[in-house]
Amino acid sequence: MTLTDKEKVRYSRHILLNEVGIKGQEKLKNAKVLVVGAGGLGCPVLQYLAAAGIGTLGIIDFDVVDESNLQRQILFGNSSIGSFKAIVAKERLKELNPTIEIQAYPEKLSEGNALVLFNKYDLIVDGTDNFATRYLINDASVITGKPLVYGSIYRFEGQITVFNYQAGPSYRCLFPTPPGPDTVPNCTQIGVLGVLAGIIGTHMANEVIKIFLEIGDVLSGRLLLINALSNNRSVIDIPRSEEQFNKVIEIKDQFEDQDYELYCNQVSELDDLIEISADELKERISHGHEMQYIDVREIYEEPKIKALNGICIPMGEIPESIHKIERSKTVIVYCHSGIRSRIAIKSLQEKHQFNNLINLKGGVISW
Amino acid sequence: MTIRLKYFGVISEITQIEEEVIHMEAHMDVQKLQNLLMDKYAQLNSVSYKVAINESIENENIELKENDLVALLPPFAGG
Repeated sequence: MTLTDKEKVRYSRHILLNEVGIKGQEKLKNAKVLVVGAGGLGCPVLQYLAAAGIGTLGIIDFDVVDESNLQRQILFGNSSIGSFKAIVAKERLKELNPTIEIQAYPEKLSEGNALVLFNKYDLIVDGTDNFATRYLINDASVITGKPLVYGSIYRFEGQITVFNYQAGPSYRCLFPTPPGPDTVPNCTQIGVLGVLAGIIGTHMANEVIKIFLEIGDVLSGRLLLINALSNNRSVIDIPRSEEQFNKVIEIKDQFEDQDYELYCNQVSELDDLIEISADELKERISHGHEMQYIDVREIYEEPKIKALNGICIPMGEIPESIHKIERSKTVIVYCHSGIRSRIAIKSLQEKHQFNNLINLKGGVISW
Repeated sequence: MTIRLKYFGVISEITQIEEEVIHMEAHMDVQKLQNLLMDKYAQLNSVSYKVAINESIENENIELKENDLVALLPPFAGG
């Protein structure tokens, strides 16, 4: 597709650049980019890609706008609160650039829809906020052969790189497996500097544009780390691991049967999860309530709680230890910080119909 | 020998600094350095991270050399 006269005016500052020109701008017009997550990273990425004239933009996000998003998710305003991010973003971007095609998917990216969706686009942008979706996106990008522009933020620090580009590495070449439960602080509890999302998001948009224009050095095989407080930048080389690619290719035909949330030990909010604080539990014990205690940590994990003297059933042994768990009285399930025990309760409730399980909020460290 | 260390993300919160220089015996490998750091910062035990040596991800337990730059990179998923 060639540029219309109006587009030549709109993109004149691009076209003036020798590195872009009419040909380059046409490459952008013919590009199809899917942005997963219209949050802190997704908003600036989408804004600049739309303004730059990427011809087809897809936006997938199942979430709705919350007031606490407005500190960094710059496509939204007060009137967006409660509306689907994908839909609001599309409307806002249409106003910014009516000459491009925008497809909004107000749904969750899943094992079931990822491959079909990715196949409709040339490049994927990962602006999500959890490991399960990040591993899902990586694997689906590897399987469909799409380059993946990756960004991630934590407090005042960000990471940017391009995965699966030409013969470059993938996310799994950097982090082969998800971090264990309890080892990474929960995103909603740690906070993030709003403008950092913009700094990292605009770097991501820059990589997308360079890839389509075929100019400059694409951040493939190199992880760029930026610290907004110190202004320090580091670049770390990521070697490609054929083994990691092969592992993903092996599951290609069973991709829809994978469960990335389970794989990443990630649980969504449980509506029917009952929790008890350490203080409340001590109170109950002092009143002589008789309960069973299950410690789902590994056997070697310390400290043990003498007052509870729980039966140790590590996560991996739960399936064969169902018979050890009482059904006729209250059972307190606990672990180091209260995350693994939540996962255990979710699984026991869903697969074994337990309705007498209570999670020790904050785990052993709160005792 | 002298080893330069760089910490990122949650690791720099545990260490309370972003960079430091440590001195260790010659012929130490990555694993020994990790053990040494875990003695110094007990909480390192409970986080996962990747090691980069001289600005390249290193998956093997190689021997360290004088003045190597070792970075500890924890994964994070915020967006």
